Amino acid sequence: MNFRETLRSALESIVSHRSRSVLTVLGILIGIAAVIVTVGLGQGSQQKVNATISSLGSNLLIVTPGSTSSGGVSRGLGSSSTLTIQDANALANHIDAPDISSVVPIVQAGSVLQANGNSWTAPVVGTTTGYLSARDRQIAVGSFFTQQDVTTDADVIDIGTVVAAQLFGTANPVGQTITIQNTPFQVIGELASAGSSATANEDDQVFIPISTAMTQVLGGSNPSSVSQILLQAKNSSSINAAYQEANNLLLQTHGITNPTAADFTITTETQLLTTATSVSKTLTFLLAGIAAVSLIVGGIGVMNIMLVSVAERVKEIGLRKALGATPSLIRDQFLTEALLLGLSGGVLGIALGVTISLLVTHLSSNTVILSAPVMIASVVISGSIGLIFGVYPASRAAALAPIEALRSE
Amino acid sequence: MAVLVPAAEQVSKTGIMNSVLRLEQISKSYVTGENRVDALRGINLEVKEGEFVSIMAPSGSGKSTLMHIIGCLDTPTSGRYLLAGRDVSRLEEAQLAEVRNRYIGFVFQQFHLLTNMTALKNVELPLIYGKVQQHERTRRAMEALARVGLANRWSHRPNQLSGGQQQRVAIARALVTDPKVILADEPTGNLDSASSKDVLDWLSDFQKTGRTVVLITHEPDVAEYADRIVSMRDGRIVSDIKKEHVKSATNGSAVAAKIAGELD
Repeated sequence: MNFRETLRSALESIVSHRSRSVLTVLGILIGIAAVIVTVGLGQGSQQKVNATISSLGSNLLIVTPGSTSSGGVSRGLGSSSTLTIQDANALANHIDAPDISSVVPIVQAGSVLQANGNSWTAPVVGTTTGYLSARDRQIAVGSFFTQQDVTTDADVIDIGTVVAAQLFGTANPVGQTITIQNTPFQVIGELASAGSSATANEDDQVFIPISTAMTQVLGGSNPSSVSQILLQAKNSSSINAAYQEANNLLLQTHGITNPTAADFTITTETQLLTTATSVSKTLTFLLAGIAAVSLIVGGIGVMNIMLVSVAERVKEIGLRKALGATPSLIRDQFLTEALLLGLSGGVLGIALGVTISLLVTHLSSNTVILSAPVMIASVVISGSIGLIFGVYPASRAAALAPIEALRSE
Repeated sequence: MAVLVPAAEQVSKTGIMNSVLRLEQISKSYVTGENRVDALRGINLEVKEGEFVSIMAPSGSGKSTLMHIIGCLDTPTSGRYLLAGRDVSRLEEAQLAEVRNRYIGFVFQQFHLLTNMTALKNVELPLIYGKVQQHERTRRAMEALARVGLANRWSHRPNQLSGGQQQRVAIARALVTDPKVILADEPTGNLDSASSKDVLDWLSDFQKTGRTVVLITHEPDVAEYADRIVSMRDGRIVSDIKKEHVKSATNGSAVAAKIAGELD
């Protein structure tokens, strides 16, 4: 009896017990569908995170004061004020830092904004003209402040869409006046919405020249300190070089010889990506783990039904043995049946998983990514589960003594 | 299909008639817990090629056990069993399967046809295990069905056939491998008298083509179809009468009935 005969006989048996076969594969079917959907959801959310991070700005490095860990204890980013405007000037030196194309210092503090009798509390961001390109933002109405505004400490302000709506409703904000700590600012532009990132609503912010911010609005204990410095690398391949240059320059400027004692932290977009990716990978693994458990349960289901099937077909097994089937042929026949059951569960599971994925994509904002490797793996896994859990029932069938088998009625 | 009978050939060269079955001091005991049941106690039996032998015994006399051993479905506890000259008393499962496929055609009381297969597929089954190619298999299975007069029913499933027809399909399945021995275990037990006669006639026909038939039954008038009647009781052979002797008596069936009477 060759493989084709074994296959045909297994297929005939599956088809002739149609409803039982469907029930048998239900566990695997659901497990595989769950794998397809959860892995697809995981990959979808990962893609979304990647998109969000790259929208932060291209080739971006962010310098924040304080080290992430000090004496083994992690402190929050920006919890000290070791970063100054002088650092930003040093980083802007194209000879010492040839791979850094632009340097954008930022000072930031929450403040009350007043206009037309309305008031609204929002972060006030003091920065330079390079901010828009570094953060990949656009102006919707009016214009952003200019280099001249920075040089002259001009009292001009650009506002986010949320602030505009809160203070001016639907009216055009350009030309209006906003008062911050008794200083009137003229609104010269409104930024296009950035969408909300995971950490902060970027539309609920206002922007003023950094010089104005430092002298008139935010003057803290150290008037030259900045909250962060955005650096733009020349291109994506020079991010690492830019990182090294910034790191060396800042260590030098701060007079620190031991790099591990740095009082600043440089974060690259790649690092953010890596973190986010690892988070979503963990999630994917977790979901895949749950799916794996359901697959194992499905496998046990296959084993149970196969055992029932062996018990039901004792007479048939006995007859086949009497007619010359060797134990290994009987074993192969049941193994093939289990394999086919597993595979068909896998294929049906993929069909169900794809259907659910398409529904989820249509009916919610989640993206489900269907990937061929996952489907191929699903088929392989479901087949293997069928085989592995078929071994016990198949060897039970193979071990049946032909006379016991023929005697049973 | 190649039938290898080296030992038997050696025997025939020494001038002794070919024996198909040769049981020497065959015993079979079962141990269940502390009880030991001796189902067969030293059976000696030789069946020659072309014989039609009935093994007649009441139930509980060990005839099923004997049938299992003759059919290579079970192995003896002690003794030697030569099937077509080959010692099969100590073979492994897989080897026994091959021997059954090659040398023995079974006919059972319960027919034992696979219900989800056509008559043709049922008849093909032993050929599948005999590794016969598909085309050849179908040809031989159709031929066997034609021999039992069911060629036109090849596509019927067992539940679409009468009991007699089902048993004829089973006979076709036993014939299809061209076995050395047909082993029929109460083949008429589930049939009416007309179908019974039919089945027994097919078995006689098979014998006339030079093959060996071993018929196991408890019914005297069924046993009488054979030309040799072996009677068993309590795991032993109590009589072994050839038809010549049966015929020399005034009435063959009377002898069979007498033996049956002695056994009861």
